[in-house]
Amino acid sequence: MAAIESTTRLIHFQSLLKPWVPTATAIRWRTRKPNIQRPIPDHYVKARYKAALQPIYPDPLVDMPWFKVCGNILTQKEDEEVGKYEELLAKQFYTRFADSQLIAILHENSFKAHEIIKIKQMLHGHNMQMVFGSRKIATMALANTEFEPVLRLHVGKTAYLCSKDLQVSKLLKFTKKMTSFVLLGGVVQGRLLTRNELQWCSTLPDINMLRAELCSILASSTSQLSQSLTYQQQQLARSLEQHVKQNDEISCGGDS
Amino acid sequence: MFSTRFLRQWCPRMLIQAAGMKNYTPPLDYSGIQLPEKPKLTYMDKVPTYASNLKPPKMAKRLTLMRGPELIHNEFIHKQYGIVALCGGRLNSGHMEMIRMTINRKMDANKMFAVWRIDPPWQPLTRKGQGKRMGGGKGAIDHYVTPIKAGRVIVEVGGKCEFVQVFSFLNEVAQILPFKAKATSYDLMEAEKIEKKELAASNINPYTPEYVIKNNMGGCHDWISPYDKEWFFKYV
Repeated sequence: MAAIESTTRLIHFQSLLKPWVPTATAIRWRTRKPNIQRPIPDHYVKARYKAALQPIYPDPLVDMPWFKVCGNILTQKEDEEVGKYEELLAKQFYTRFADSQLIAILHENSFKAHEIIKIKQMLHGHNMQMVFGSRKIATMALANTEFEPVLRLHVGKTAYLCSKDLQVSKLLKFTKKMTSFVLLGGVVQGRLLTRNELQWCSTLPDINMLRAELCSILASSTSQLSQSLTYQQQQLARSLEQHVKQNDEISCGGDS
Repeated sequence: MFSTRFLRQWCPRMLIQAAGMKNYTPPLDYSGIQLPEKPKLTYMDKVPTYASNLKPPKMAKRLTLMRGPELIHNEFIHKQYGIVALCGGRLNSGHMEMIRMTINRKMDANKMFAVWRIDPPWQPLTRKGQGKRMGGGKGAIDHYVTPIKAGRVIVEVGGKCEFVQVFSFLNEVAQILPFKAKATSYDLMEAEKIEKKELAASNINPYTPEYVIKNNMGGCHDWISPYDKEWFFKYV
């Protein structure tokens, strides 16, 4: 009896000792703390994922105009800095233009200081002024104004002779005396003229005289009418005056 | 004979001296900036003060305090200049003294001010004696540190100054820090944010880490870490 019990117990033990796969186990996984500053290289699978998920950016030169795609065009125009003083000069420049009726555009050749002193002396008292300015300042002053066409002539060093009076012949006389300056053209009452047109302008009579003439022409018909209406009365008055004069002379001669 | 324009176009490497109008820019306007009474960085205690009856507690390593991005203290309060951490790490009292001395020495106290953006050391780090065997309990507290996350602002400098003036000493400090850091300005950080957005928008790769992880593409949830589900491979 005891032998049978012990063998059954042995058989139980043997069944227990048979190899069996447990349903749940504890494993050592992710127990190594990551080194934040010097991380270990990624696992092959993770590295592949990361490589595939790298961002892809489109070529910036696709659908661009030819002059941006061509890598040979290297010169880039730098934005010109505009200072406060230059803005002030430009404002001054424009006010001088706006105030004047007559502007002579002169190409500036090199001159000495004593020449410019002589020029200023010559212009003194004639309501005239020399205006100097670089292309940058002239552009700042005159772009988008009524004087914008003048900028077409501002090539190289250019000076302007601004006159408040409308005397073209006097202006041309002064410009002839300025040997370092070459006359290019002029602006007469807001109209840009060539050198030859300025010469022609100087030959024109004074505008006030022409205005007076025009007024007289317009008034001529009315004056004629008034004259014819009052002719008889005027004649009568004149002849009466003559009579009075004659009588006075006779009476004076008789008295003496 | 040759104009400067001609020479500049055809001989671009030639240095041409020309007299031009000098542009005197008006001085910069610092009217909105108020300087504090104490412009320099204050001293940071090496050991935090506890109540006299309290035994200084020991603490677990808590690497999570250094892991991932800094979400709160990642912008400049004074909107000027400062040092930003690019990687996580720890700052101890030695580092803080270095920062304090360098910045206080090199800054102009009449025009600039500096401000700490981190706490004094509070996290206790324990060490066992040299050569001691394993076991016998947790070691004694050796020193205290401040944990830093990536993107954290360490120190801010402001005042009536430009970035160029402060960059020299801020960069010096940033290079010495025990983690990657850089000296930046508020404007640069804003520009970076905009650039990041633009880059993300112009990316034509339809597969991003976020998309792949959120959709468990390729069964990646088998091997990714739970932090990857939050940070999408950007941080360790």
